[in-house]
Amino acid sequence: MADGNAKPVRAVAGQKTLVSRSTHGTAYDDKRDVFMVPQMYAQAILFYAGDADGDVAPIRILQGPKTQLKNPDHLAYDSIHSELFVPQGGRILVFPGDANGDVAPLRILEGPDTQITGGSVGVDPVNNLLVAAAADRANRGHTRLLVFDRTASGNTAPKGIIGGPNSELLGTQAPFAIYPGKQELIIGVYGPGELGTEQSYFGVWSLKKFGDQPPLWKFGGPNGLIRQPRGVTLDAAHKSVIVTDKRVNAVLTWYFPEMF
Amino acid sequence: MKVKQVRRWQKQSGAVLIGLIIVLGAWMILGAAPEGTLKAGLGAALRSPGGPRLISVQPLPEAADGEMCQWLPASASTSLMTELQQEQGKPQDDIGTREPIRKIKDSYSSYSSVAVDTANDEVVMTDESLFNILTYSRTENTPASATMSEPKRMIGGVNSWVEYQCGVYIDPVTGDIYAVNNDTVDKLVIFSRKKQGNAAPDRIVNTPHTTYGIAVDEPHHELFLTAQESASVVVFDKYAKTDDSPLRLLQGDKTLLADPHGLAVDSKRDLMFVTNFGNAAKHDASTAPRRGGGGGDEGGFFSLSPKENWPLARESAVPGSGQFTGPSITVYKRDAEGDVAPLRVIRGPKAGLNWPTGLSVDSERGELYVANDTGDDILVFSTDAAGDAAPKRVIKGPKSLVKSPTGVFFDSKHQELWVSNFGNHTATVYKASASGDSAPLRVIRSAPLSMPTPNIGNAYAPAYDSKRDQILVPD
Repeated sequence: MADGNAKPVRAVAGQKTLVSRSTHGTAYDDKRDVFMVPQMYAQAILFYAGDADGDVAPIRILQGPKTQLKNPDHLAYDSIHSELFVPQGGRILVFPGDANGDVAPLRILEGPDTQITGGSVGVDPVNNLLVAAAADRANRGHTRLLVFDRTASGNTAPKGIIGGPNSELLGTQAPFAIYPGKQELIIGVYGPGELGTEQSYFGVWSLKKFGDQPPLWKFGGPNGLIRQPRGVTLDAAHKSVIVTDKRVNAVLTWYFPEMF
Repeated sequence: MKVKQVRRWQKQSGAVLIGLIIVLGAWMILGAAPEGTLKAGLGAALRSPGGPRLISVQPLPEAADGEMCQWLPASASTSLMTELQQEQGKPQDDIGTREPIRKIKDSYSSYSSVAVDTANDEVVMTDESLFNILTYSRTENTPASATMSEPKRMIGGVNSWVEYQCGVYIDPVTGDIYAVNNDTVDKLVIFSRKKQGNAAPDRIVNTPHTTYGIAVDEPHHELFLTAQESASVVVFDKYAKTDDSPLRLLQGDKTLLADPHGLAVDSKRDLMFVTNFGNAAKHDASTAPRRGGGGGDEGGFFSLSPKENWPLARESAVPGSGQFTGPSITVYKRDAEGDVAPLRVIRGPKAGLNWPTGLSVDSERGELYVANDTGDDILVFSTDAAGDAAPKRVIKGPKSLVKSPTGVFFDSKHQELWVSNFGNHTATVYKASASGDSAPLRVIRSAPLSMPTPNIGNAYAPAYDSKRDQILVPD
């Protein structure tokens, strides 16, 4: 229930951790009680014990030529199938959840038919979906959500696309979350402006249908608190959505029972 | 007070109320109540048929959850009401207009870098929590009884292009402020000394992504910047215009630059010093996607820049070449460029480097000051130190107030050392020879004493730890 100027209960920082500033992603494996972060500058994925605290070394490091990691910045994790998804520009690398050392991906989703361009990916392990955010070249400044089967590989076209003028999916670079229970996707939407804008918000889209569909809900804006959304995670037990905003420089929690 | 304690009070108060009614009723019926009171009325009701009669006394129903008016003490916070709402599962408003129930944010300035304007007796600091540049009197010393010190001037707002700033340089003649944005705004912003408010910079220089440290060599009018992602140092003309190319670029495997942060130039010895966190990968332009070839954003930092002396960055990283090299301080000739090896490297367990961040040099004494972030200390090395060299002095300890120091500045005019402590809302000043657990000469505070800090700086994609009910926040 941290709020305001709360001090973190734990902080993993320091030389032994091998993280650096500008860490842009994290995911939690509730089966192994492990969390993981991308380390872009050293092209690695670092895994820590769930209760890691202080200047502690990772318990596993995924790094090396076989990994094909180029600039890992975001990631998504599937606890049910124990798989790690790392977007790399036009490719999505999929690794085993217990990967350690110089391990090759289990599969790679890449190729012109995939239409993947962006760096954000999400997985729904219950409904077996993989979703990638991509630039909408037909509508500059807009984004599309490409929906694949979770195990898609190679040059596979998406099974469905959400996007278009009515979707209100403006430019978004942010990592997003998926609630499998209702097949809902929550993503931050950037309005125009490099330093943030009142036109930004977080939106919820249904993954049950494709096409040019508007969001089910918007919160935090437009003309609200959100200025430049970053990431989102879900606390289903408390029916809450936890988001970050770059320009507000805060971690915010919304009580949102409607979507759960 | 938690929600469960509130409900217990409600039940208890209901029982007390019932008890009082019973006692009051007995008091009236048994004749203890004075004349003219309800007793008289009750007595009349009991006397004879035909008049008003008290038929029965019914206790008030016990309060059911959510059916009784919510009791809240005057000191109840909004979060308490929200907890009640969560428990009851009844949103009180539409999600579109709903406010967050919690907001973790540092409401006070966090000093990330510091520099002294010796000509005007002022000190300037960048603030990475609220996105400001703050100027104080150099001799400011926040009284213990004060909440904080108010700056003399403050620059901030969207027009200023000030955001996550990590380095600052003050022109010793004009007092112009050069402030470095890190990984969210690829611009170096320059303000005249007296600028304040939401003011546009007097000059902007477009920089590579993730610039961090800044230094200026005044004799040659050259401005140096480190860039983390590309593991490089770029050197601009001090008076460079917006889209000018750098004069020189230092990048490549031989340089041993690895996630470089702080930067200092010793004009007397003609040397450049760089602190490195020790995260590196190879870069090769042949691995970059072609413009229009897909695989990432068009332009931006996903494709090669056409500018001369512009570093290769993430678009050119050679897949699978990453490595951890350990923290270090690398030393070069001031005008080093290309892929050249350092003259010296300070590295090893005795050096005690732990996220070495800010750097400042005392050219006269030949000493190098290092803001050692997660070491919670300031390390002082000789400028000719090499290898696994122990620092000459270390400032560390509770009296020193050094906590997550990210900026350091040596004021040669007044022989004082300044430290910006990101971890405790302070900037602290020491004598040049300070060592050990030395109390600062002066302290500038941006927050009440002992105010905690969330230590958030550009929080990105969080994750929820369901086992511990905790939020994991990378930044």
